Amino acid sequence: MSLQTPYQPPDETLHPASPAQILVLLAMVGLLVVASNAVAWGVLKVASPNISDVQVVRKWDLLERGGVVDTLILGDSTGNQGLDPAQLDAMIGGRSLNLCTLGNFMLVDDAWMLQRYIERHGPPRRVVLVHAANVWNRPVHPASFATIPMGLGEMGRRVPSVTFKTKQKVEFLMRRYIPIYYADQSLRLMAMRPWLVPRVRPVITERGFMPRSGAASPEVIEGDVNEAVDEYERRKFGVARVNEAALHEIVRLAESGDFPIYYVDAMVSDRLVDVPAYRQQVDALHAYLRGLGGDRIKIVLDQPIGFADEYMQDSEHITVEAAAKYTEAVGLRIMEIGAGETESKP
Amino acid sequence: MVYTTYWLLRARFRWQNAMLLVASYVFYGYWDWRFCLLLLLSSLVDYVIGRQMHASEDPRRRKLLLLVSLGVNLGVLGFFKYFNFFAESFAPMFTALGMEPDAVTLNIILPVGISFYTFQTLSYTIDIYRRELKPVNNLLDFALFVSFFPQLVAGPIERARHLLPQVCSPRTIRADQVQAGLWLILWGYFKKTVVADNAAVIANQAFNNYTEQSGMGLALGALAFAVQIFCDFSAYSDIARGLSKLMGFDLMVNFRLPYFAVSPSDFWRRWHISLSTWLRDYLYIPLGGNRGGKLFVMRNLMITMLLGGLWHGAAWNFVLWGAFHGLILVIYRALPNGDGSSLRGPTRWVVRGGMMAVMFVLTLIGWVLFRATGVRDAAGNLVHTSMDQITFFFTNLTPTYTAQDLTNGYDLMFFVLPMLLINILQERSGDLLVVNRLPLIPRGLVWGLLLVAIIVFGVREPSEFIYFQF
Repeated sequence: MSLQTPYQPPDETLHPASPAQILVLLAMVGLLVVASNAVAWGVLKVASPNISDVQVVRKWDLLERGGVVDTLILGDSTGNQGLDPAQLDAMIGGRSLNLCTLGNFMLVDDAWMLQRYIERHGPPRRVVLVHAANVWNRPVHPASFATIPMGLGEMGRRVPSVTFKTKQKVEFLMRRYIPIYYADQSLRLMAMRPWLVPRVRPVITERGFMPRSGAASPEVIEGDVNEAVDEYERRKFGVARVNEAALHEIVRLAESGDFPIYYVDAMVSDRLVDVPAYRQQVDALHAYLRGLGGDRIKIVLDQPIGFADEYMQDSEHITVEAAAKYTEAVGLRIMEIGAGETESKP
Repeated sequence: MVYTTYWLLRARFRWQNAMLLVASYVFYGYWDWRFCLLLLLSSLVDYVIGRQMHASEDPRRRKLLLLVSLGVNLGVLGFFKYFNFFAESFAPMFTALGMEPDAVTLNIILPVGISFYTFQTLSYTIDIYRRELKPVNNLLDFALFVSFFPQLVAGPIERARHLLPQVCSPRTIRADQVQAGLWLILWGYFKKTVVADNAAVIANQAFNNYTEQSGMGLALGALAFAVQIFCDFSAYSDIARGLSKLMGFDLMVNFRLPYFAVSPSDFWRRWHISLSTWLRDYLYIPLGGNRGGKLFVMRNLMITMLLGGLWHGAAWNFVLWGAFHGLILVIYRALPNGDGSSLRGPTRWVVRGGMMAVMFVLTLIGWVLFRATGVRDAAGNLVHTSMDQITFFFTNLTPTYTAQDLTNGYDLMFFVLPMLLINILQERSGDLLVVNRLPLIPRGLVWGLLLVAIIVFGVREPSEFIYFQF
């Protein structure tokens, strides 16, 4: 003990151990890590503060339990918080369900969700596809795909088929089954600031709409727009092979089910809407969709809708106030297009 | 891979040495292969000089050989570490004399860990000169002593008479050593990734944007840096010592809970012990040490601490830091002796706690001097000098705070508390390996929780150990 007189700084004393004891010790450490991982997995399942994870799980759950609908809204996070199904129903009639997820899934989970829906309920009356212009040429991101509640085998069997190389499979499996490592930021927040978790957990309505309030500061939006512009200027328009396959599949399903696909450009900041590089991407995308989908794909907006800073959370995500305006504009255009062309019923 | 090969070669320790030597040079050459040449030069010069010095009976020749060793080692160190510092510091003087200083300043890259291995190899020649050590007969053994990879870049600065005998004879790997080694590695990683790297976020925020901080923000920044530097540096020592123990080597203890120190001399018995004892044995005592009058002793203390500060880096803030520690050593020396151990009951704890608190505040002041390296803009231009930072820190410690300060304070406590609890246990028991004394189940629980904390709370972005730069 250091209580002797005078005080001495502590020293090291080797404590007896046998190789067997060390092995038991290491086994205990391993077990504790495995147990902590299991606890983390369970806790995150019910109370994850990760918006993306919650969103994906909820949307796939709605797909399974949301029943028959007239309008199936598929797409990325811009549509998730931009299109309010209840408001859309009041305009175009019927019942719609917003199943928009994340940009990292590109059009792949749109195709998979549509397949799953048709398998269960038959074709919907119409599909609305909402995507940002920057999702079309992204690579498949294994860690993101791991959040889709679908096995690796099924991902390989579905159209489009998504298969991973060994290293990607490891990443996929780790992301799915080792939350203690991959969901560290969520766990940190839950451990360090548990009182914030209810505040950051997103609210998603039973029709799949995720209203988000609170605009970002103009500086944040400007910074994000600048990054987006850089990206659009740097990369020419292109469509990843897996996206092309997904779009072919969606069109094939629409042909066989005889329903139209309404393509809607994601809303953007009005700082971005007239930027030439961005507009070129959008024009190229529209031309591509018309070429691939013919009459089956209907471009809802000739040009994207721009919103002022007070409605934006970044360059392409809007607040709930703007979502009402955006939904209204989209609803009106769908009605116009629908009146001009008779929609076939399933 | 290194450890597996080492284990497979356990029947042949010379082969183990050869393998470790290769591994050490590969490890060091990973930064820049040219640095290996310096390491080789230092090893060759001191190996040859050590043998010649030992063989010679002529005091003048022995002294000359020692001077050559000092000249080569300190010359290389001085050139790489201090040339720019002196050239830049004296540039205004050259300009005033009408000389053009630009040509003098070279863009010299500092070889990683040069201060550590230079002092290590110097201990070898000085000890031979003093006839306290016999030279080694095998160049490979000596080269391994200089370059032993676990402690090559940030210590502990091993003494030849402690490490060389271990290099020159077969090692045995015992279970108690392995247990201690595994604990030290785990504890080191916890301190580095969970405590130091998280505290660094708060410290960097305070020191890099110091003009935007409240009084509490500045104080918290100093506190966070105190946490960061202790956890970062002691973590490296722990990991180095842990790895060595797994190979059957025993490196010296480098830290003994320095923030529990009650006085400056106690602090230096606990902080960077391998350097403080090196300075004591090879500088302070040769200068006269505690012998002679009070003024003489104070002079020795000041010289030792100034050079100790300069050892850390070629910058005035390190010199100031050294001078500050020299000054408080001198002041404490003039005060009555005592660490509260002669008192009884609660008074003892109150006195001792008060002394710890005072010493900790003094240590914090020192860390502000140490950390104030100036602020550079994105282009690398110095926009605030060390003195700007230091002056601002000590003149703006007002009782003001922001919401961010409260969050930072909470975060710092969150990461420090678990470590502090173990530190208290270590200090109270007098045993740095006290956790390994626990029964198997609680021991496994502590080990496991530390590993879980590293996985969840550890900072993943790679960040170098602070002392690599020295």
